[in-house]
Amino acid sequence: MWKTISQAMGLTIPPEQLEAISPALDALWSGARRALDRDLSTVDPAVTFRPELEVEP
Amino acid sequence: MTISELAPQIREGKLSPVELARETFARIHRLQPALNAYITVLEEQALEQARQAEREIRTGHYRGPLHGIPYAAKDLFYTKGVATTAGSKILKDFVPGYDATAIERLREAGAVLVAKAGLHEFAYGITNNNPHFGPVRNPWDQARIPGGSSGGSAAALAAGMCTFSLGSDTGGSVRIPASFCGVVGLKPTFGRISRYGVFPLGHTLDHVGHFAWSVADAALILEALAGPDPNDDSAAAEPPPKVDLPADPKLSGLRVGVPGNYFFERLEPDVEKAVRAAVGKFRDLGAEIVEVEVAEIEDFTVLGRLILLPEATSVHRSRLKTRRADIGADVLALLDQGQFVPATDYLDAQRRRRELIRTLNRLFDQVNVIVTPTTPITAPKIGQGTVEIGGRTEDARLAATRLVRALNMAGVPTLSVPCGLDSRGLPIGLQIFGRAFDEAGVLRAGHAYEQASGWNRRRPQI
Repeated sequence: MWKTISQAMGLTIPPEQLEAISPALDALWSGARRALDRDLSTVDPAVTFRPELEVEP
Repeated sequence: MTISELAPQIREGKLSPVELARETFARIHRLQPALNAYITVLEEQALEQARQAEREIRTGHYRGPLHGIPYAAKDLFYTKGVATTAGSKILKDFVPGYDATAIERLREAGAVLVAKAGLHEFAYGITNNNPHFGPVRNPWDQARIPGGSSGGSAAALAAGMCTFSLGSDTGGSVRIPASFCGVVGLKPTFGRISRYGVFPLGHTLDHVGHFAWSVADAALILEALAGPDPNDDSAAAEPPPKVDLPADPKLSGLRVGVPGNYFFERLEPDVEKAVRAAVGKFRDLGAEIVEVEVAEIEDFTVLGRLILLPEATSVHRSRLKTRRADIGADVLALLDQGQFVPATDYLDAQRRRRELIRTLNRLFDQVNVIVTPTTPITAPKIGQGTVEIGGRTEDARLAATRLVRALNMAGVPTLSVPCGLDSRGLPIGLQIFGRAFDEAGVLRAGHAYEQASGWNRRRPQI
């Protein structure tokens, strides 16, 4: 899968490097998908954030 | 000796800053070949700064407790006219034309910069096994890593090659080496200390922090470093905190949260034993211990990585295209992974980040501080890629960052203090965190524990 994505994005990662990082990407996404699987459309992203100001909406 | 012990002697003229600098350099010359804690040693410049400090103090111009105190800075703080490598072959000849705000503030406080400390390449890793400058070694056991990415700063302090040091913390890079090297490490609130002139890793996760031999010293350094900075949009408007640390280590009225989930899972037995004993010490000091649950904290550790990967790749995008051969294998692998994170997932992770901050803010309505282990393990050996915990094999980098990374997402002030030694004689760290901008509360709790336990007074035999 990562090879296909890499080609589609025009990345120039050597094949052996892509093979080496694929397990890490698989593991990351198995956790991340679960963490992101919810409706977040009403929450602004915290690209700049002030932790002291964060309160219930 | 600590800053708190040295400063009165310097102020009263009983201790010469020049003599203190010379003693520090004698130790550097003896230990640097074994530990490789420094990339650049600044002897001539530092001795001149020490002579200036001595002249000022002698003529009645004492600047405060850092005046004449020798320190080291992680080699990603810009220093005017002095090479700043960020631990990279690509930047080995980079000489900034200005000082980082943190460096400037310490100069104004009269501190003496003795060296630029080694780090994991581009601060992107926890081993400090740097392919371009060699591994930094842990003074408690030279076959082991000091932790990272600010490993040189922590190892140098632990070995007495400076009296305090600067680091940066994007996913635990101050707290992990503080834990592995048996020193105090403070990651203040996001925005508390300016990042101007600090080579970036992850723009929404980077924090400037520091290492010291005691919590009282960490408070003194924070007061010198903190405050608004017009050169850094992310620097908060809050003035530097005044941290009053009582001599009597009592914690009556303090509510200490101890997580019942996540933070006490999959720990080396010696680490769990030491941290549970530390919790008992808080109770003995009069604190009320409250079991808390930090909801979905594991998600935030994963999402912290999801945010850091593209942020770091964005910083290094042009180098990734043109200088691949000059980047170490482990850092290159992470930079390549960062190319695969879609903007939609990055933004959704930033959305969930706000939920974590709200969760923590709710908890801080119930308790003043939360205590956990800093790391589930003590320092692994150099080159050791995995660790065994409870019969399970875990990637060493993921294990070391497992209990610290989410707190970079939250941006809250977090302290690591020594809380014991394992059966091999390696240091164990206790993590204490509190509400945003309540560094004073976190430091008071750490100071009381430190006074009662005395673990920070242990030094490596080197």
